[in-house]
Amino acid sequence: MRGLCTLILLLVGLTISQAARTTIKFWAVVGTDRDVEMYRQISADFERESGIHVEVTPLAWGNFETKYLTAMAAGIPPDVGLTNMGGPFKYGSIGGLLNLRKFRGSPELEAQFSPQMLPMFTEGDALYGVPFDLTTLTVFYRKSIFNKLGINRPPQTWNELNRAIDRVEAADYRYYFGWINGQQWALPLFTTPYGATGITTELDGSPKVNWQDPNYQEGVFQALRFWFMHDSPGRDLDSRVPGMFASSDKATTVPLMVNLHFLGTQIKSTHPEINDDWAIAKWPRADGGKETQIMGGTALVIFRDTKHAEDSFKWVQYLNSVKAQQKLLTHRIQRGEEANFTVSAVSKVYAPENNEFWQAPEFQSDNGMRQVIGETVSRITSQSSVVGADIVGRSEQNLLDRMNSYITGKLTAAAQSKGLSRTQFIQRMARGDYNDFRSKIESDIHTQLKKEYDSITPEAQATLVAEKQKYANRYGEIIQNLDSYRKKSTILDTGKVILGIIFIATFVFVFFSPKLRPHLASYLFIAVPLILAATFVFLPALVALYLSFTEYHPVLPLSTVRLTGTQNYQSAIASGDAAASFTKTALYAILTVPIGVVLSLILAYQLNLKVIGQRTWRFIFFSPMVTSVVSIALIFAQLFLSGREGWINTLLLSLHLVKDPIEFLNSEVTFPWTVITLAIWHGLAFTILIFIAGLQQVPVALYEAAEMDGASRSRQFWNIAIPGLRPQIFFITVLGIIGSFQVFETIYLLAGKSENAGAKFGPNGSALTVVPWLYNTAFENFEMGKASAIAYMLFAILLALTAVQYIGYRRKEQN
Amino acid sequence: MRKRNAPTIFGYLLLTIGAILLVAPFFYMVMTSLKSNQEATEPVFSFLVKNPTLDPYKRLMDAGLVGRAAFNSLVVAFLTTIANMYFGALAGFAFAKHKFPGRDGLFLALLSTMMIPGAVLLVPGFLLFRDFGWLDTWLPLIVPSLCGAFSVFLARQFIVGIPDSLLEAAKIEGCSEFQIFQRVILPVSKSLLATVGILTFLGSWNSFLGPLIILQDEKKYTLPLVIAMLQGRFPGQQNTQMAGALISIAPVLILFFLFQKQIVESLASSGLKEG
Repeated sequence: MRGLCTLILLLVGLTISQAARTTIKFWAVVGTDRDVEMYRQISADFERESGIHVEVTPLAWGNFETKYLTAMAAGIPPDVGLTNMGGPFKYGSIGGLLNLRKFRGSPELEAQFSPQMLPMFTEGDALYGVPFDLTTLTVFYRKSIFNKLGINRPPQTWNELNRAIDRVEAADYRYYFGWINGQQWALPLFTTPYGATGITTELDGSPKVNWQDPNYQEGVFQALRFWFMHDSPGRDLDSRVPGMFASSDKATTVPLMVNLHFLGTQIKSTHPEINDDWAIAKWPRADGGKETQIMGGTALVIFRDTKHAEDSFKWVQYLNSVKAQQKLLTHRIQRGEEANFTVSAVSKVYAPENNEFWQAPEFQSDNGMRQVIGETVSRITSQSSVVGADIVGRSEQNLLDRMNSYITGKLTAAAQSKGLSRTQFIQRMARGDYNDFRSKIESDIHTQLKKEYDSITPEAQATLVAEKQKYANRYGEIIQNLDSYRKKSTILDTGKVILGIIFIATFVFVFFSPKLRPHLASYLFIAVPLILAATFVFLPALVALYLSFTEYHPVLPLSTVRLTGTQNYQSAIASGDAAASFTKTALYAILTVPIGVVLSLILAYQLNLKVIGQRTWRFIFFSPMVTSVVSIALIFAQLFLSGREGWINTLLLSLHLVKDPIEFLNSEVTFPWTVITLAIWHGLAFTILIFIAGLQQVPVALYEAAEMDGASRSRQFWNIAIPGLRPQIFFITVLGIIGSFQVFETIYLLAGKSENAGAKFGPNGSALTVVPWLYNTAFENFEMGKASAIAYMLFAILLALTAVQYIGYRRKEQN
Repeated sequence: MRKRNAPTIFGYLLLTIGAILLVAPFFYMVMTSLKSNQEATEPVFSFLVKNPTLDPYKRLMDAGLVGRAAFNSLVVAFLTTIANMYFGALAGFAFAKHKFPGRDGLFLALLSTMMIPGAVLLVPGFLLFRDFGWLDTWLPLIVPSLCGAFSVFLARQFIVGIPDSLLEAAKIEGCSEFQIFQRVILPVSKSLLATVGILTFLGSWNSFLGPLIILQDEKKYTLPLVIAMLQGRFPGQQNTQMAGALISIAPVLILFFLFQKQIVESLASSGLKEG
């Protein structure tokens, strides 16, 4: 008995101690599952020291941003998060994070980093995050090939790098500018050496867009030259690049690469055979400019809604301790094939007292990597962020996409006029054959760049001023008084009360009305779908209508919603965004549906004949119908990979159907076509099915009569089958257009949004059709009011289409 | 009925080209999913796999994502399917065979929900589920879809065609309306239930945008979310991504192969939706 009591006491004690133990939720963007393992190990060490338990949840690089933003909007964020470098400012400026300077230990934490790293995490006096690990840009080259080409040292300046690229291309090799290629966020790497910064804050605190500064444009020009004037394999080929770098086949070898530093460890582990034949060099300095390096990597933040602020801060401190950083470095370097060299942001890690740590064999014989990185880290600069910078950044990104098309177009045209492929033309240009053309195109790029920046700068400036004002006027005050806003009732509370009253009143009415009471069973039978429709369709639809006349940021309580009249509709229309998006959608529908209908008609007609092996044919033709469009899009994203490595490009090149690979997913012209191809492919099955069903209703006697009259096969197709199918063709066309107006998944996946959070819906936003636009507005820009207005514009158009369909249907019935 | 013509050689050619274009992506998927990392990342591209390996599948299984996601999708799809079959038939029965005040108005109101595009409900749905505390749970994927208007519509159309004499006979034997539904309507509505079931299941199994904004925790992800996530989780590993695509497609294709006739008929009847 006594033993039992002790046991119970023990159990109770255990439960209490379990409950008393703090658990911190830590979300981390991870590259691989080995990272998850590593964070769990570090958190176990931390728990032994502090008694604080850390629960690690991995996030993929593809969707971490959506996850953080929706979790903040949903009010269920973790305590501590590991994000990309842009995360702290982005989430902080919308009130989602705690200011780290509120903590007592903040000065010591800040002192661990070189001061020029922190500006990008600060807003005014607030510090929203600290760096965790870094990536830097470096140059990799094959020593033997460089020797052969007579390049006797790694490029020290941009001019030297350009000359090295020319030599490489003149010898029919390719060069590769990796991960940051074409990326707007990487522009500071090219502009800061010339002392130019894209967006700055004036002394009076107002934001200023400096895109028209000639120095800034010179920097951008340098970037464009490195990125688009050559035959660099696509950015999406990163994983294949170590193989190309190590290749001994001249046609595919890439002996010169500019890429993030950690590729070095990958090359070392996957291609040890060339270990003595390559070296790493730091990113060269601009001619006549400063030597700078931008910062990539991850950063740590603490979320506003945490209930364990102090313990979360301890965890952040621990992660940036020398001990944890050394664990990180060791773990990552010891991963065999997946090994990579992590750059620590904590200065002390490189201090002389920690020299012993670096003696481990893995850190030796690294082709000079540690030295290069050590030098590089000291040159990292970061620029302070500005509210709304990500919105105008997107318009600058579109500008880069357009410049890419512009330059590629010029190169292709020039190559065609000489009867060459673009690659051959670039190689000849590298040999100095077309110097006139080169100076012409370079001056054209300058002119075009100026024109482009002139056209987008005023709007960007206006956007920044408006964002700043919106922020100052609203979010500042709201964030101060969050608790009182939380207690206020909202439109949803009202809606729920009204709905509840309606449900109860209806029930009471039915139950007590002598006229309705006998039908009680019938009403109960239909209750489930009606209650669901009222709660989950009519109520939200009305709420959306209301929201479409308001402004609402979902990270804040719903009671902060503010009526703005028809402003959402007006601004969407006046800015031209609505016209652009609806035009893209309409074009998509107009191309997808008729092509699909014609192809289906032809195939359905054949399938409806007496085919040998009908079951097999039908299985093949119908099977896409049951496959999920997400899986199909994943396959298509690989089939249509840009560059000569893509499956379809390989085929086209080997059949000599094209001279240069088609940039399916990287060009604003071909991207929509790829989406359309996928849509037709996936939709074909259903259309064929409906047409076959229709063809079977066409009386056989009609064909017999036609045959007796001597009508040919094609006449039978045109004069009997097609007229007989008129209702189905009409039905499929309307249905197809309605479906096309709601296209989303395929564009989301083909645009690589699940791989890269910053990806847009197609190059230059070329596939920003209505639903992607709505998604972008609601869940990426967090303008719930404007998103609702978009939804209602879509609704109006679909209603009109349905009306057309209804009228057509009535007419059909009358005939 | 007289025999129909067979296609000409040209007709077979058309069919063959069509079939090749439709099968090619699946062929690519199977081949790539069997490649080693080395072979999949070779700069030279091949159409056939040289040294087949199951490593990509192993890696995928080790990550433990796909199996759990398939289970999650199955739970969500199963619950919505069963509910739609039952409640759809129940409501369809009342709308088809009962006469009660407001019947036609209510039916029309229910049908009008089909005209509201899902995109309109995205934002308010998110806020409503947040208000309910349902975010990051399966409830938003299940509860609103328990009985769709289209299921009721299909059921009504079908049950209208059941002869009244069957119901009269049951009534004379003293059955209540509910008993009539259970003992008479359900047993003769097998093909209706199959149609509603298949359409609901496919809809739920393939849905993407809703789960994308609702679910946070990877452990709760449904299959399409995990498949989409493969791009980011195994960046550049085409073989592993294709192994995932295959695992998600294969079971549905096998089911389709086995029950082709029934599934095709069901999907054809979904053409009624707008017609």
